Amino acid sequence: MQSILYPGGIPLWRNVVFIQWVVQIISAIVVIAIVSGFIFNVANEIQDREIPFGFSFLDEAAQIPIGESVIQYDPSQSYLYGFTVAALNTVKASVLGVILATMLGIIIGVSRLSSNWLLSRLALVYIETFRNIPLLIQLLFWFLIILELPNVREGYVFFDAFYLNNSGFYLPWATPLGGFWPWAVLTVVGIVGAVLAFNYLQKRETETGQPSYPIIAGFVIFVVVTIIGLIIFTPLELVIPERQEGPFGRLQGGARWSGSFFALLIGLVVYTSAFIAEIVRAGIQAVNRGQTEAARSLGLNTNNSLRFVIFPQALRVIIPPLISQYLNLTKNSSLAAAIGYPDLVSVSTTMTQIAPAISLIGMVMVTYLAMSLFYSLVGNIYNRITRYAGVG
Amino acid sequence: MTTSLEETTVTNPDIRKIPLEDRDDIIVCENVYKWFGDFCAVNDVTMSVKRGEVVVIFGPSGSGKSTFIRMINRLEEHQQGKIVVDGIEMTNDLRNLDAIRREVGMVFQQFNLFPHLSVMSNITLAPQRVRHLPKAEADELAMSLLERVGIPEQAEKYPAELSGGQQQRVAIARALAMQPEIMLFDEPTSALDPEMIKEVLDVMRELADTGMTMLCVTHEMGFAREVADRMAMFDEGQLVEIDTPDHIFTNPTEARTQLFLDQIL
Amino acid sequence: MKTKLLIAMLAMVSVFAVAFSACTDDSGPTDADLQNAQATASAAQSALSDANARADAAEARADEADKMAEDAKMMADEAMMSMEDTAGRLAQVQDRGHIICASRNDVPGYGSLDDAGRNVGFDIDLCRALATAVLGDPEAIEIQFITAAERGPTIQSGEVDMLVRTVTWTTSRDAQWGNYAQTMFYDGQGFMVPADLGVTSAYELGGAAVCVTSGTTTELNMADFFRQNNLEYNPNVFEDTDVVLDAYESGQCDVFTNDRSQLAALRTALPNPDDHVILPETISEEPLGPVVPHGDDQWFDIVKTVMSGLIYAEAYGINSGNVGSVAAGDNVKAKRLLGTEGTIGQEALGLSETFMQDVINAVGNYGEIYDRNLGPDGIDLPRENGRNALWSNAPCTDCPKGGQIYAAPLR
Repeated sequence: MQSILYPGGIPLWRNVVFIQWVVQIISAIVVIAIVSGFIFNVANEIQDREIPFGFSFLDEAAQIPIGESVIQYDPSQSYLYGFTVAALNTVKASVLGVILATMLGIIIGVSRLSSNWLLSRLALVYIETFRNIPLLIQLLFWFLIILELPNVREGYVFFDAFYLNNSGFYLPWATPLGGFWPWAVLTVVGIVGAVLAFNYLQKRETETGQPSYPIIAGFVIFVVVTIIGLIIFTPLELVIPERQEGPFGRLQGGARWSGSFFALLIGLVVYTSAFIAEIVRAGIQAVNRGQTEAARSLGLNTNNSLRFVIFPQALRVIIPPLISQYLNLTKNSSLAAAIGYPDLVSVSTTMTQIAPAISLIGMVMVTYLAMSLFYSLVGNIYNRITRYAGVG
Repeated sequence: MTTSLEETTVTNPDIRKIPLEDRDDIIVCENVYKWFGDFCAVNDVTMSVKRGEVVVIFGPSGSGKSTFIRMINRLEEHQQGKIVVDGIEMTNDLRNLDAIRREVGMVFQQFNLFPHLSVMSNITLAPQRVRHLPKAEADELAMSLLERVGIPEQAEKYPAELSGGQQQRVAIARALAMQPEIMLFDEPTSALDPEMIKEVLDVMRELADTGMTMLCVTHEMGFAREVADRMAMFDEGQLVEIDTPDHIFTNPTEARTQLFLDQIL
Repeated sequence: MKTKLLIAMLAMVSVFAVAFSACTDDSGPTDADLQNAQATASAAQSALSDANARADAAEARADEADKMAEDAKMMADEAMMSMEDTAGRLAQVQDRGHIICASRNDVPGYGSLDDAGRNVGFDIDLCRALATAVLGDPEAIEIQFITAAERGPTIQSGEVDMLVRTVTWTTSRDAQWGNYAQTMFYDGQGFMVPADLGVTSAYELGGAAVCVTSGTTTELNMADFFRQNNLEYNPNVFEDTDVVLDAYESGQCDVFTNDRSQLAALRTALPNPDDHVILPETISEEPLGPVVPHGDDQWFDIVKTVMSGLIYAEAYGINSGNVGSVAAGDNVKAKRLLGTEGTIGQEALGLSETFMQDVINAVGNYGEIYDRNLGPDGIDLPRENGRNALWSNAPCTDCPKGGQIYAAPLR
C-alpha cells in the first residue's frame, strides 16, 4: 500500500507529475459535464417548446428573392443555394473592402507621418472624423448621398451602354456560353505561362543587368493566349443593359453594382481605413529611429528607405492588429441590412420567418467564423514566413 | 571581373604620403552653431579636416561631439554657420544634400543593421537602389568588402546571428559599399564587449591606411594615439583644442583638456 | 428528432474542439489518457441521464396535479366573474359619466390629435359612437394612449371599456385578450407608387423595384404576390422603415409596400402626399375592430349592436343629414334601426329606443366616419373597389359596394 502512494519515494499528493495529471483529468470532466449539460438543456428546451430545428429545410425552395447576387439566383432555388448566394454577397463586399481599406489606410497612415504639415493635418482630420462616428451613421450618410443621384429613368447614360443612377451603376457584362470552360482553362494556362516568363526574365535582368522587359513579356503572353482563346472558342457573350418597357423603365441585362453596395463599400472602406492608418502609423513609428538614420546615411531617399528598410520592419508590428481590422470589417458588413444590401445576415433574417431560426443562426455563425479563421490563417502564415532567422 | 581591394574605395593610400598642410580641405566648418531649444549643443565651432586625414574627436559626455559629427551628413541641421563638404556647401538645396550624403558614410554606436535582411543584402541594398549597380556587381563588391573586414563566411547570415563585433564590421562594410570620400564613426566600439573592440579597431586602422578621410568620435585613446593625425577635444559644445596626438597627450594647451585626460587615462 | 439534434450539436462542438486544438501546442496528457478521461466522463454522463429520466417521470406526475389545480381555479374564477356580471359595465359607465377607450394618438387617420388638441380618427369616432349610444354625448370619452405591447394587458385588466387601437383580429387574441365585437376595417398589405408613373393596379407592377422593411410577413407576402402573378421585380430590403421611405422618395425603388393603413399614414409625412397613390389591391388579411373585456355579455352586445348599426345605417341610406326624414319615412328596416318602428332589442341592452338616431346625428354612418378620417379629406385610402366597401348586395344606392363590410342584421 505504501509503495503505491509513494512512487519513487515521493508522496503522491506532492508529486508534481501526478498533480498535473489529476488537474487535467478533473478539468476535462468539468468541461465535458458543463458542455453536455448545456447541450442537454438546449435540446430539452427545443423539444419542449417545439422550437423548430433541423436542416432538412435546406433542400426546399427558398421563395425569397435576393436583390443582387454574384451568381445567378431565383427564388425557386433551394435555401442552401440562397444562403450561399447571400454569403457570396458578404464575401464580395468584405474582400473588396479589405483590399481597398488597406490601400487607403497605408496612404493615409504614411501621410500622417509626412513632414508636409498640410498633408499631415489632413490625414489627422480624416482619421479622427471617421474613427469616431458610428459606422451605421456613416453608412446611412453615404447611402443618402447616393440616393441624391437621379433615379433610373432620369439617370446618366454613357454610350448607350453604361448607366449611372441611384439604383446603381449598370454596365455591359459577359455571360458564359458553351465554350466558357475550355476558354477558362486556356486562359489559366496563359496566366501560368506569363508568370513563368516574368519570373525567368526578371531573374535574368537582375543577374545580368540587361533589360529583359519581364513585365511586358508576361503581359503580352497573357493577352495573346486570351485573345486566341476568345477566337477559337466563343466563351462569352457581351450583354448590354437595356431599358424595359413600361412605366418603370428599369434596366435588365448586363451587370449591376447597386447603390447600396457602393454605399456599403465606401462606408466600410472609409471607416476601416481610418483605423488601419493609425495602425500603420504606429507600426512605422515603432521602428527604431536608428534604422532611418542608417538608411539616410547610405543615401537612400525617403521612398526607398520606407520601402526597403522601414516598412518591412513595421509590418511585423502592423500585421496582427491589421488582421483584427479585417475581421472587424467582415463583421461590420452585416450592417448592410440597414441600407438594403442583401448580405448574409439580411437574407438569413428573412429566411427565419419560414425556416427554423436556430439552425439558420447557427449556419450564419459558422460562416462568419470560417471567414474570420481564413484571415487569421493568412496572418499566421505571413508571420511564419517573415520570421527573422534567429529572432522569435 | 574581380574588384581589387584598392578599387573598392575611392581614396588612395598615396595621399598619406603628402604632408597634411599641403592637402586640400575636404570638410570645412566655420562658426557653426546648433541649439536644441534653449540648450546650445554646438557653440561656435570652426574646424577643417584635410583629405585623407584621421581626426579623433573626444571629450566628456554631453559635449556635443556626436551632434557635431552628425551635422556633417545632415542627420542634424546646423542653425548658424557654414559647412562645406568636398566643395559642396550644405544648404537646404536638396541636390546639395543628396550629393553630400553620397560622399559621406557613417557607422553608428548601435550598428543599425537592417535586421530583416541578410548581411549580403544589408551591404548591397544601397548600391543597387541608389547607384543602380547590377546585382552581380553589387554582390561581388559586398563579398570583397566582407573579406576586407574579415568575415566573408557570414555573408548569408542574418544580423541577429552575429556577435557585436561582427555586426559592427558588417556596418563598416555596408558604409564602404557606397564608396564614400569620408567616413564618420560615432562611438563605434562603445556598445561592444571588450574582446570584440580590437577586431573593429583593426578594421578602422586598416581603413585609415588606405587614405580614407575619417572623423571618429571615440574614447579609445590607444587607437587615437596610434592612428589619428589630429585629435579634437570638445567640451560643452565648444572645440577646446585640436592638435596632434603627441601634443595632446604630452602637452595639451588647454587646462580642460588636461583635466579630461587625467580622468580617463 | 432529439437524438439527431444531440448528434448535430455534439458534432459541431467536436469540430470546434478539433479546430482549436490544432492551433494550440501539445503539452499534457497523451491521447490514451484523454480517452481514459473521456471514458470516465461518459460513464458519469450515463449515470446522470438515468437520474434525469427518473426526475422527468416525477415531474410529469407533478405537472398533472398542477393542471388539475389550475382547472379548479379557472372554474372558481368564472363563477366569480359571472357573479360580477350582474353589476354590469353599463351601470359602471353610466355612473362614471364617460367611456374609457384605449387607443393611440400617433397615427393620422386612426387615432391622433388635431391642431386644437382634440382626439380625432377612425377608432376615436367608434368610441364616440359608443359614448353617444350609452350616454348620449359624443364628447363623453376619455382616451388612454397605449403602446402596442400594452394592448393585451390593458384590455384584460378591465380598466378600459373598449380597446380600439388598430387591433388585428386573430383567434388567439380573441381567446386571450377579450371579445372582438365587429370588424370595422379590413386592413392588409398594399402598394404605394408615385402618381406620375401612371400605374393604377398592383397587377401592373411587373418590372418594378420594390422597397420593403425586413423581418416581417410583409416581405414574404410581397414575394408570394409577385411570384403567383408571374411578375418580375427587384426587391430592396431595409431594416428600418425610415430608410425605406428615403429610398422610395428618391426613386431608388418605384413601389413601397406595407399595410395600407401604414401607407396612408406615412404618406402624410412625405413632402408631396398628393404625388403618391395607394393602389387598391390588398394582398393580406388584417381585420381590425374594437375589443371589449371578457365577462360582460351585455356590454359586448351593446358594442356589437352599435357597430352593426353604423354599418346598416349606411346600407339603409341613413346619414347624419337625413335622420329625421328617414325616421319618419317609408323604409321599414331603417325605421326599425332608428327606433321609430319595431325593436332591435334596445330594452334588453339597456339603451334608449332612439339611441341610433343620436349616434348617427353625432358621428354619422359608417361611410361618413370612413370619409371623414380615411377619405380624401383624411389620409386618402381609396374605399371604392376595395375591401372596405359595403357588401355587394347592400340595399343602398350611392354607397360603395362589393367589399367585405357586413354585420349581423339588427332585429
